[in-house]
Amino acid sequence: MSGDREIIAVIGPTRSGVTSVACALREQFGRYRVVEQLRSGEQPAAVVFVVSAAAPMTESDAQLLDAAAANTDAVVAAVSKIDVHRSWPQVLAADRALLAGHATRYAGLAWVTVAADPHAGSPKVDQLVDAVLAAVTRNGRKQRNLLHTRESRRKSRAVRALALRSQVQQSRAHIAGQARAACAALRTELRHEAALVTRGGVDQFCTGVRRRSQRVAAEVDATLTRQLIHMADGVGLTAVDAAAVALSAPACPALESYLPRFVRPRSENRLTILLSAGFGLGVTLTAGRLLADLAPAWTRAVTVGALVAGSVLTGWVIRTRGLLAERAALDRWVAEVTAGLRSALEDHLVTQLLAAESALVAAAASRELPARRGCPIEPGSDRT
Amino acid sequence: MAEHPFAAVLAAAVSAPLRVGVVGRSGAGRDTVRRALRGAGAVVADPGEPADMDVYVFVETLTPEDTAALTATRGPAVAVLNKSDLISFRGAGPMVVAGAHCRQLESHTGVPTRPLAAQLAVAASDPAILDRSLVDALRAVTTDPARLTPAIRRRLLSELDLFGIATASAAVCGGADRAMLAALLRGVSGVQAVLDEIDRAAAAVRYRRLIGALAGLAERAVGPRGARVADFLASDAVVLARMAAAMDAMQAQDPPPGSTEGAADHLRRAIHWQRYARGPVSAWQRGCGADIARGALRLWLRAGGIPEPMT
Repeated sequence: MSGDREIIAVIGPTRSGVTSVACALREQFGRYRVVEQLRSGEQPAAVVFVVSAAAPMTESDAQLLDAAAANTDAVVAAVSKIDVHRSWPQVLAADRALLAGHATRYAGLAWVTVAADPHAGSPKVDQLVDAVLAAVTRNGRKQRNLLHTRESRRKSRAVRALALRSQVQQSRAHIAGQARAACAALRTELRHEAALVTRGGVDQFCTGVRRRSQRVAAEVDATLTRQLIHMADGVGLTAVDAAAVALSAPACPALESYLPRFVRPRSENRLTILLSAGFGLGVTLTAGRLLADLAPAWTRAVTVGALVAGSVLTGWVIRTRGLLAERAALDRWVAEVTAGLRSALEDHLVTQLLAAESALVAAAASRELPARRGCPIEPGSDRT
Repeated sequence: MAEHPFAAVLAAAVSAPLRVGVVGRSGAGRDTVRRALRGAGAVVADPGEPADMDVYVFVETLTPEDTAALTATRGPAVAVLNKSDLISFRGAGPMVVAGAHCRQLESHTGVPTRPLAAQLAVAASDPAILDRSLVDALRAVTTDPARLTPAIRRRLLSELDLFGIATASAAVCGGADRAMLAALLRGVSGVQAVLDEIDRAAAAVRYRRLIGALAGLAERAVGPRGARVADFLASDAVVLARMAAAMDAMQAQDPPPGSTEGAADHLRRAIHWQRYARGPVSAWQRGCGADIARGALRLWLRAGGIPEPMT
């Protein structure tokens, strides 16, 4: 049964002599299954990477090695066909430099030379056999030690990421609730004040509304920052890092862009003036005629008095109706402003927490890496 | 045509030598291939100089990088499998194995691919390499190998390598002299097949040059003195020259020289190429097809064909 035997994978670009090297190793390593192609999920005990001495290897060859050696540190690189290509020392040096430059984990790679299928003389694979033997022995010991710790680490990492996510969700619910309550309170307060605004106090009221909206936004932001620092503490980041996390979020549109401007009701004013003038005229005519009939001798004085009374009445009605119209407009505006404030706060909250969540999960994952530097070649460490 | 003032412009543009650029993977032997092609008579551009076509050098097989580089070349290209003499010493010999491998690669890439032992081609073309001492050493390889000094052994290996030594020493023992040896090495190296491919690609380059030069003239055909240029461009000489260049580029069979083709043959050819140009072909091939069809129609008129208006 071949399935339970450990695997030695011999890989390399086509025509580099992979098959000959695999045949030679098959003769030497009866205990192992020597394959030229890894099926998905197979974990090789050692990977032999074969490149030809005909010319220096290329970047695509190095990618072949990346794919095969993703989960093992036991890699032996072999330069083949050294019996025919006499420039193999230069090729070996170039290959070594290219792999070391490709990924730091290959810097200390064991390189050997082989002539697995020479056209004259006996195969030269002793170096390779020794290197592979050393690699599988070293790998077996390390594998047993690492398997347990890696598995437990993986589990704890998953649990921690889950905890972090739920913490972020809780913060989101909490702060969103706070923002909603603050907006509702502000709205009630401002509507009360809008009902009492005097004619000269409209501008002052508008400035006040903006200032208080900004204060509410600042309060919610402060709560958010406190929560972020708290969560960052949980994964072991400093406050400065947490600030960086907060800053890394994409900027939301400014708060001002969410708050509508107050527009005075002009056309209503004009209508009010027209109606009030009509009312004043009516009062003047009615009062003038009534009084003139009662005291015909005072007709002149009565006419003047009625005109004055009519004008005064007209002015008063215009002022009062104008003020009431502005208060109604302010009341509507206050509702719009608080709705805008609420959506601004929600947008800000969602963006910040989303950025914080990904940054914190990444930070939590990267903080685990220094602890894993125990082994010389770390799978995946070149990708972080 | 010779006395026409524009003919000289065209002749100069088309007959300029074709410069071959040698590119490819580092370590694949580009310099040796450059020397080999120069020694075999090709005009080779130095690295960095502009070239009319590319010879792409690779070893063993095409890597993804090689394939990407081949598809990225703009002009015509010939791929060369260098170090073919070291590919395999089993079966029918390295050059035959390499040739089969090249055909396989060619069927995938569509780029003409030929095996080459550039080292042997260089040795064949350079009398300084194939000198008296080397020939003596080759004779001694089979009869008295102990007589060879380490220096001459190293020289044999560096100039001829394993396959070259085996081939050449067998020939020398069979009584070959230096000239025969050079011819043998040249034949074995595969450089002639590469030159043939370069020539084939050169026809396309020449056709493009002719079209480019004619397009330059066509710009002068408008304006006050343009009538002469326009007449020249429409003349039989130019149309037939375009046809000849296009047929070279398409590798179409010329009628055998001296054969008397009748009007019917010309018309048949014109119809064939016009149909070809309307088919699913590239713009460049469409141009070639149209040029051949136009030229064939002129020949048909000359041979007595009478055009009828379409109803």
